[in-house]
Amino acid sequence: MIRQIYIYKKDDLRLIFHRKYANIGRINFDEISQLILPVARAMDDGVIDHSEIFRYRISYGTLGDYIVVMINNRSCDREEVEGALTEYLRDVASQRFNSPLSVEEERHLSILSRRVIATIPAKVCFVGFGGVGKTTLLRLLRHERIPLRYEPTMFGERAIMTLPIGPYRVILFTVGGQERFMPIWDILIRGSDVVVVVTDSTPDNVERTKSQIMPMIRDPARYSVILAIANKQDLPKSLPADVIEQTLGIKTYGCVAIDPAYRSKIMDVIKSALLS
Amino acid sequence: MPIGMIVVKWDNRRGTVLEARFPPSLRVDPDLTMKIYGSHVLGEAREANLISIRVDDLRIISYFGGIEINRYVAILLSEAEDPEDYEEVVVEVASRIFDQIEGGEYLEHLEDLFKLIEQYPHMSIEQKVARLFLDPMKVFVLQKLREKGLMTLDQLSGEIKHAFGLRTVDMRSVLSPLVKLDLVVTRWIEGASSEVAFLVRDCEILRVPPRTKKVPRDIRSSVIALFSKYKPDSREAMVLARALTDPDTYRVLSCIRKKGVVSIEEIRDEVDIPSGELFDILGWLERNRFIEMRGEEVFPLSEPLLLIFFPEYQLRKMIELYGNVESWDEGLRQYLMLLKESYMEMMREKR
Ligand SMILES: Nc1nc2c(ncn2[C@@H]2O[C@H](COP(=O)(O)OP(=O)(O)OP(=O)(O)O)[C@@H](O)[C@H]2O)c(=O)[nH]1
Ligand SMILES: [Mg+2]
Repeated sequence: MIRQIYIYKKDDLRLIFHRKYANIGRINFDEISQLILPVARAMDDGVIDHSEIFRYRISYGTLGDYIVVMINNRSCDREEVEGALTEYLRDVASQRFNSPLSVEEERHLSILSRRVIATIPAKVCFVGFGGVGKTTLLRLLRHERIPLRYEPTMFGERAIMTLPIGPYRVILFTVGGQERFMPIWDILIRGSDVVVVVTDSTPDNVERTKSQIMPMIRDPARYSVILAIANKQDLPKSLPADVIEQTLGIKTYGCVAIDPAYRSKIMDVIKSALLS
Repeated sequence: MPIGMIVVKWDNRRGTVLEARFPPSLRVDPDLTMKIYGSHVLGEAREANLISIRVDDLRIISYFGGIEINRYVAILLSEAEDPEDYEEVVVEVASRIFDQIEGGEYLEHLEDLFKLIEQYPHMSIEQKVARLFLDPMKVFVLQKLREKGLMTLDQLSGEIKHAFGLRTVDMRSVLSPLVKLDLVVTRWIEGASSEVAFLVRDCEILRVPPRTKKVPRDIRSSVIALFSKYKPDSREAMVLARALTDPDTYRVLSCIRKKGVVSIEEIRDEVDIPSGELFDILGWLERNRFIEMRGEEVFPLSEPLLLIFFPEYQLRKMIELYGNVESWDEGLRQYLMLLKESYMEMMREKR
């Protein structure tokens, strides 16, 4: 997903337009832009370059009178970002903007920006052992009927979240949790902006999640935000979320996926993982 | 009849993405494309990248191009059909599509590719083998195997890359029709760096005089004239293969052979091909000396013949090339066994 967009005039490097759809943590873009803009100005027309920092990628290019910078997630395919940025640059450079922008121009660039944002959806992937409630969570988020019978997912499943989060369309994936599918989890995890580790809140499941799942997602999820959901909190003797958080070492939220009252809580969790 | 064909790409962010389908009206459930991809990567594969699965009342045969290409081509079949009948054709169609994936050129050929898929199971063995002659890479592999008898896949792919100026070859897709048609067997052999391919049946495509009793007297001189000066050129095998494998051309040719002499009118009645196309076909047949047209009448001049035969010559070559039997290695021993099996099998088929 593309998080932020900046347009500068090439001659005096003045910022003429920007949009922040999602935050970039504690990274100070003002400082980074001091380094990047002179480089971008010296680049050939139409060439795109990137610099990567933490979980983010800063992509920039210049064409005609303008420089465009897009901050995106490192989990995105680089070529895809280049494609989106190239097209956006072409649209921007085909016009001459007033400084400051007129209301019309501001509106026009807003629409253009929304459109480029929409070309790269966000990806959220639920992982966890069989039967912990991944498919149930996906149904919950999609406002679908919640199945009470357990039907194991084969390989994996994918569905678009009914409502967008901010300007982003969100694609949800769950892996098949049974052991025989574990060797191919990485295929489904790769490219995720957020990876949600689901446990069923029993000591055994939490322990196995810590020892088996956490190490195996490290590589395919190395640029993703990782958080945990301690599901089935309604069952007797379930461990509280904060205890599970201690064990797993990642932010953990308690949940009862078969209870629609949890929908907005989980929605907020995902929203904040994607946007902040 | 096949229901349709799909080309699906894997995208890390979006999962399976439908890149093309035929017919255009085909409805494809996104969950289905995920299931097929899952079966590929789970490696339930019977033959490397080729899988055949059942989803609800659909039967599916699908070929995955590997992680680099990251796409598969699948044929959707109704329940009554046997996916195995489509094994070679799905591999062939997929490799053609993967060859043209860059610019999306294949999109213009979807209809023809699908037509081939529909016709393939109805072709005779001879027609299927004749199709090999249309593909220079297959012809090359057969030629190499004729020379050597057996080669490792590494050797073969090296030769192909060199001859065709390629960086990579998908040996699986090159060999699979040859294997399926019983011409080649592949085996692991102790000590070999990769699998070994053995030629166990050979084939040749020839032009022969019309095999009909009804060749009229006045055309015989033309036939004799043709064959007394006959010298196959480099495109001859292709011409013969096309006459055997293009379904409409083949039907016209069979009709002429059956009757000896026929009028255009009679052909039209029997084969039910639109006039314009029929004239194109007749023109092609005449240019390539399969028929002679005199006014409204069509005479047979020659016909294509595909022979599948036991490569007896390999036995002599083995002795010449490799000396006495005692010094033979495991590969040659295996080859001898495979040749024996092939010979017995061909005898059984003849009976
Ligand atoms: N009591 C209780 N049951 C739940 C809860 N969430 C899910 N379940 C039940 O747990 C079972 C398994 O849920 P699924 O969502 O299919 O499990 P999964 O993680 O997708 O399993 P795999 O597809 O095999 O990986 C179902 O019977 C659900 O109804 C919950 O919060 N509380
Ligand atoms: Mg599931």
